[in-house]
Amino acid sequence: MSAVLAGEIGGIAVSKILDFAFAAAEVGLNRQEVVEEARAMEQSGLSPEQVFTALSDKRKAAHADLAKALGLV
Amino acid sequence: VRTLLAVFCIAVILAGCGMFGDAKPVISEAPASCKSADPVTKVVAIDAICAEAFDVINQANVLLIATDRAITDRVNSGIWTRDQAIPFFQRTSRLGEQVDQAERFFSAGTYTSAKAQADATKTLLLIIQKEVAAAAAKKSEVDPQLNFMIGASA
Repeated sequence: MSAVLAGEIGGIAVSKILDFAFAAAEVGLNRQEVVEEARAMEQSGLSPEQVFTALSDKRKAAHADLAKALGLV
Repeated sequence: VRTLLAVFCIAVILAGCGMFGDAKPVISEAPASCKSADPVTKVVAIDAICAEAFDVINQANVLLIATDRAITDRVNSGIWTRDQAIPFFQRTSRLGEQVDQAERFFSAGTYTSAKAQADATKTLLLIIQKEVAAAAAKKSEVDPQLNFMIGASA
């Protein structure tokens, strides 16, 4: 506990661990958001095959958005 | 104060574990291509490998979407430079091609190959997600000590 007070856990700065944990939580939330989008499509009446195709299309769109943000297109 | 800080650290770290996903399938129902009805009893059976391949491909797509969106957010908000993001972009491009391949295997009915391809891709995606989080924490190169702690490899 004194290590925590000193700002370190296992030799790693607490601030760094917190930064990582927040970033990991953000990625986790992104993932959960996509899963919820897929489940909403399913609940709206789309067949599993249609949701499958929609997810694949969303993946390509997300990658195209990243390419655009990087100025690659 | 010390106890509160320790509890807070543990809570935030556990929240971060959300990025590793849950056990439920992304889509609850199996596709028609995985189902077959017994001609006599009319009982519908589900091909387990087909259903697993279907779910793993969906999971890989979800992970790729989440990863690309996370990187795009960091670039657009100025947290990452273009040079920091491009190596991740190149890796998600390659993994996208692998998911395309898994989808082609699935469409062709070669479910074992589709599952194997998607499983391998998903494993690499989970590593990239950890690296995105770790790189976001350091905002430059990934800290080897932090990488060791989260079990990520190059």
